[in-house]
Amino acid sequence: MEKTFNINRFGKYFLYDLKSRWSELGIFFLVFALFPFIFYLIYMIFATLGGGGLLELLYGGSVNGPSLAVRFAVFAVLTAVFVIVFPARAYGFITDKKAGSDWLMLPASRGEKFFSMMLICLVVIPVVYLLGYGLSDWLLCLMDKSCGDSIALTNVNKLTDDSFQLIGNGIPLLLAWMVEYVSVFLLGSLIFKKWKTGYTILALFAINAALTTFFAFAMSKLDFSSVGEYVMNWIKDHAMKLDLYANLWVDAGLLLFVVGCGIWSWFRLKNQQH
Amino acid sequence: MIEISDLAFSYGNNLVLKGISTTLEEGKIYGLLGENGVGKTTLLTLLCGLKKVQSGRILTDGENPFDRSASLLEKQYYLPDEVAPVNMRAGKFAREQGAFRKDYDHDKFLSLMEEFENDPSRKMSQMSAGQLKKTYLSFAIACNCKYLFLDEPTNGLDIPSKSQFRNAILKYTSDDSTIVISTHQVKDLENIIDPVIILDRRDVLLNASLQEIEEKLFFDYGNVLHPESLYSEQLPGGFIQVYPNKEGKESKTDIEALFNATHAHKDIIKGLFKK
Repeated sequence: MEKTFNINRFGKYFLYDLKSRWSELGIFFLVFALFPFIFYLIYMIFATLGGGGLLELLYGGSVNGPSLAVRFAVFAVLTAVFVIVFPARAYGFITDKKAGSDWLMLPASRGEKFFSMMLICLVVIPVVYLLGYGLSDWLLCLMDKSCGDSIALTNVNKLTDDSFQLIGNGIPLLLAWMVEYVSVFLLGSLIFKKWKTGYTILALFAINAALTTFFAFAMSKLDFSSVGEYVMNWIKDHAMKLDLYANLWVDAGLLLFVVGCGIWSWFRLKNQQH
Repeated sequence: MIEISDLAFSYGNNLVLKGISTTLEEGKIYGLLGENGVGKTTLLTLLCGLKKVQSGRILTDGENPFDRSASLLEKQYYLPDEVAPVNMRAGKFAREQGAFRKDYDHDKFLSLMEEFENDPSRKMSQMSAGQLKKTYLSFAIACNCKYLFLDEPTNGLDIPSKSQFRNAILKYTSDDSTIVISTHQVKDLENIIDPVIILDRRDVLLNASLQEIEEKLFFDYGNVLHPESLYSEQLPGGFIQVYPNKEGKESKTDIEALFNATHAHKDIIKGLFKK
């Protein structure tokens, strides 16, 4: 066990890994975490110049800041971009001959390196990003009251349709979604040598297309009259717990997906050669 | 000790190493010589665990290097031909990476940087290729590892740096370290490598100490051509010739001539050094 995982060495390695990731990703991370301010400036410039905003200002009026709905839409898009881009920027170097060799030869065990990578990618970076973004947005709303409520203090479900409530309220949903996508894009960045994010997206499309074709074929072979009756009866019997079952199903699926990506990433690291 | 037995490796259908068996002992500076593409870098990367052995076995102190255990990684350092320009000051890089190696000596790193006339406070990403190489060389030597694998360490170094490198290897490495230096620039490493390993495509043509080489081969620097010469080359004022040392005469090995003689007469040299 000492050979595979030494807690002191892990602590040392984890700090080294954090520092290295910060030195590589610091600027990129700050741009994303401080984006509410950047977006606010852009929005106010356009709001002032267009739609009569300038005239309003000239006649002593005021221009309202971006509303909660607008800011939430920006947050959703930006978070999606962040989640699919950062894993390759953080650990994509492992497949590079020069930097990857250095990393593989660093005296820490494979388990320590893997666990540190997963902890940083699945927990540290998403949480710090959400905190950073939430804090920026909250400060913005404090400075300009016309923006309305901050995203962090809002129940995200209120902004979305009811189907999202299947997996609880906004933050767990967001974290679960982030962890799922970070896992798959981290795996992609360990598999592909170039165009890591692009190839991962293409691979996801291909897998989706293959699964859709498979299920469409399987469904075409089903006798819907008997299956439909069975499903309807099951729903009738379990109507009160349908939300719970759906939650469990989604959570189990998500957990399996993340664990599957983790296992694949582990073997990818184990067999990485330069 | 590193034991290599019946090692084979190929890239797809291109067989690079085949049937390589040898032992690398402690306290020696091995010169790994060979033409371009014979598998010098491949062998080094197999020795340090960056590649997986496809057939045969490598054992470093009884461990498979591809397991990349922390304890074995701590005992070895591999310096590739091309190194990464990290976005960090050299001194900070060395201190941070050195923290994982219990024998790392930061004062030694700073002394080596000074000998190489290199600035440890400079960012590595702003260094020239030669300065970057010298930074990594300083760090590699300061790690005080038991096993040091250097791939073309003098590539990119200017003339003074090459002699500084030779001095650094002799002055700063420990007597019980095993150092394997791969190169095709034999003149750069003359006087420091002993034993010499000459790789051919898929084979080890020679693995012998300088003493063994000088017992079995005579390096004649005279100006009369010898009919038994395995290799001869005209030099200003005479020749360098290599022929079997039947009379047990003393001479000094010329590694370039040895390399050329070995390549010209593979079977004779292999026969001479067969154990």
